[in-house]
Amino acid sequence: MIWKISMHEISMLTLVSGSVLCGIAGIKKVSTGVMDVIEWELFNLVSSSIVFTVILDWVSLLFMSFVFLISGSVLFYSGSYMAEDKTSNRFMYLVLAFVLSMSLMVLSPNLISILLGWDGLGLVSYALVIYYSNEKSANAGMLTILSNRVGDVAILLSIGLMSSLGSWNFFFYSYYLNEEWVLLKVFLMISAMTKSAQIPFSAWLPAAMAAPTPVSALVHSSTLVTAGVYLMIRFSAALEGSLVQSWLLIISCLTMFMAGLGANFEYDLKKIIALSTLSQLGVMLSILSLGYADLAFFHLLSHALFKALLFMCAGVVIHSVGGYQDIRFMGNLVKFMPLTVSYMTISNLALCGFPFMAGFYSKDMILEVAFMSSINFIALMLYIMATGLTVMYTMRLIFYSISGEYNLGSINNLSDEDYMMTNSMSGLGLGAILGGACLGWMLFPECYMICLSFIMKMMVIMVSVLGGLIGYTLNMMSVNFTLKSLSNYSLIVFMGSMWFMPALSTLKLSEKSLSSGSYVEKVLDKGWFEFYGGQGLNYMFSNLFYMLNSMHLNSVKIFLKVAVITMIVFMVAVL
Amino acid sequence: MARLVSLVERSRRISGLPGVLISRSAGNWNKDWKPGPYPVTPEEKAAAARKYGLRPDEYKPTPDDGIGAGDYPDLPLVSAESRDPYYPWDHPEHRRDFMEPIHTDYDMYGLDRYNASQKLRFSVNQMFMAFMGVMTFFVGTFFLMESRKIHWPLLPKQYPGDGKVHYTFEKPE
Repeated sequence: MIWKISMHEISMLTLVSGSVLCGIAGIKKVSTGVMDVIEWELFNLVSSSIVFTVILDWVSLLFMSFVFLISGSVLFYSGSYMAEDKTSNRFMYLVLAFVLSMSLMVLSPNLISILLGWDGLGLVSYALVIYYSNEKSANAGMLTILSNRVGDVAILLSIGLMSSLGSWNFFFYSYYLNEEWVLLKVFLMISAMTKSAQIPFSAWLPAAMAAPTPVSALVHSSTLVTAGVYLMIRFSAALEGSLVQSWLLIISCLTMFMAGLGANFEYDLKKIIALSTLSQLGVMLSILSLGYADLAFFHLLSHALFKALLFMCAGVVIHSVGGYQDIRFMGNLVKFMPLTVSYMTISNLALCGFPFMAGFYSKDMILEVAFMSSINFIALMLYIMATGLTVMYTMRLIFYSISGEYNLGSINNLSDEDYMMTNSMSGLGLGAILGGACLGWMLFPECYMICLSFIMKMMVIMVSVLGGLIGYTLNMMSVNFTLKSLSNYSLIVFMGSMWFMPALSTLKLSEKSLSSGSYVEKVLDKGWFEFYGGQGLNYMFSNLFYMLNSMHLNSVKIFLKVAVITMIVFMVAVL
Repeated sequence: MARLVSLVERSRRISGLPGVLISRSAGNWNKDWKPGPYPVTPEEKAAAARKYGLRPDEYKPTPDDGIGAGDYPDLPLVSAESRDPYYPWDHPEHRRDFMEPIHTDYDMYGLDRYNASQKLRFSVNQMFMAFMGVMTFFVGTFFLMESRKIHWPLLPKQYPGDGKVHYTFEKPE
């Protein structure tokens, strides 16, 4: 009997096996605290040797395990989602290339090999965003790659600065980077900010939703965007006590707040989830900037599980409603797609920090530790407001898509019948329920001692309940209601468009760059370089060869003249 | 020399493949495309308008600022994205009709480039002021409060009472 195994199945099996192996190794490393370093000497030049190093510690192995698990699930999911696409094999190869770049970045102990993976991530994510060959994808891809390129330049500059240390290995040097190295820390922060889409580089993440949904599930929720957080986790020792830490705190808190606010006014399903991801990235970077890199890593892993699941559920919903992504055209999906809606609800509840889901363990601990520390008042307020906004947009999404009124056409194809998509979500669904607890017990065997007053302890629950009530009830509209938002439309537009930042970071900047490029092209490329280069040389050589050719054709006369002149010159010289 | 010849030979073999461009010539432009001199008289302007497929009343030559546009018309700047998406264009991917004269910087205003003619709800200055205002408020207040961080009490507050001595407030030695 010949079994036909397709690419998505073999990829899923390989990656999930890899995930299990890395997970087991990672758990062992957590318990023993041992780190394995594998070095290959590439070549040796007298006393200098170029060595390629791979580091296997609990951070890299656990991260790899989660990356492999999510990418395996996404690839199996893509087998159905991208089935009607003629170039689905190309898609699979691109995703595998992405996983390879991510592995290279995560397993690297020094900035040079991190750069290889970092640039690879940017390049492959561009290829994935422009996968659907239309203008929207092309524009989104350009925005993505140019934003990521800024971070690549920042990393290159930090490599240049760090070269004076003699090594780029952060394991040795991150503890010794004192205040003299502030520029290095600034560049590293900028590169993390671009990859993790913090203010002012946030424009690319919602735009990148032009990519296929499996790409959003893998790349834009759990792996690419967390690369910046991962870089900061590795360099967290260098950030302690510096001014860069304060800047990172305020920027990440503002991103957290802005994205949460924007998600409440957005109607595109994938954009809501993208802004939710942006908000959670702000949470990760903010707790990291408070000095708790281990909590940032914990939230990174648990967030990856439920956010990838949420994107996959969104993909099933989008497929079923016939390609619509507007949540106003969805509704009451719970009656038609109970399994998908169950997974979606699990991931939404995990996102809100519902007790004992995956997100609860990480998010609640982050909030409690943040409230307990000597925190700036503005950061505290932004944390509280962002928590409420998170629950608000989640309940809004649930109302519009799952439980609200049915807004679709009378003929529809809503169902859970696609076993490939639903089976691929099952692993992540289990992870979204149990992942937080298991990770928490594993990473924090000795719990954080939380000592808070009653009001601060209850603050999170109160804000969550309030946010949930507002988010659910405020969107219950009928045709005879007066929209108060219309009288404050400027404010609504401001809050819903990410504080005009995407427009500002693209409008004047691209206009001036293109105009100056156009001017340089006209004056130099089509002007002086053509005058002294292509066309000018062409003209000059044409004239010269025309003259030589005419001399060649009339050669007898020329030869006689040359001979006579030569004889005269010779006779004059001799005499 | 032999290596050069073998390289040329190898490149010739792969030059037929799609997407492979071994060499390109500088001859993709010809003198017929060069705009004429800047029109001065009404007759010259009328002839230029006819050449570019425009009516004489809608033809306006590009200002002679030394760039070398000649008699090329100064067309209104309308980016492709601002054009009607539902009109049956001859080239819908460019939103352009056949033989329609294109702007000098046409490649800058396509569907995958900058939309220079979009009508913004708020001007760029207004958007900038709003964004910077909010950012300045938050960042400024944040750094103002950096020296006044919150230190949460970890024990119940100790109130004075009859006969209760908590500490005597002696100066440290």
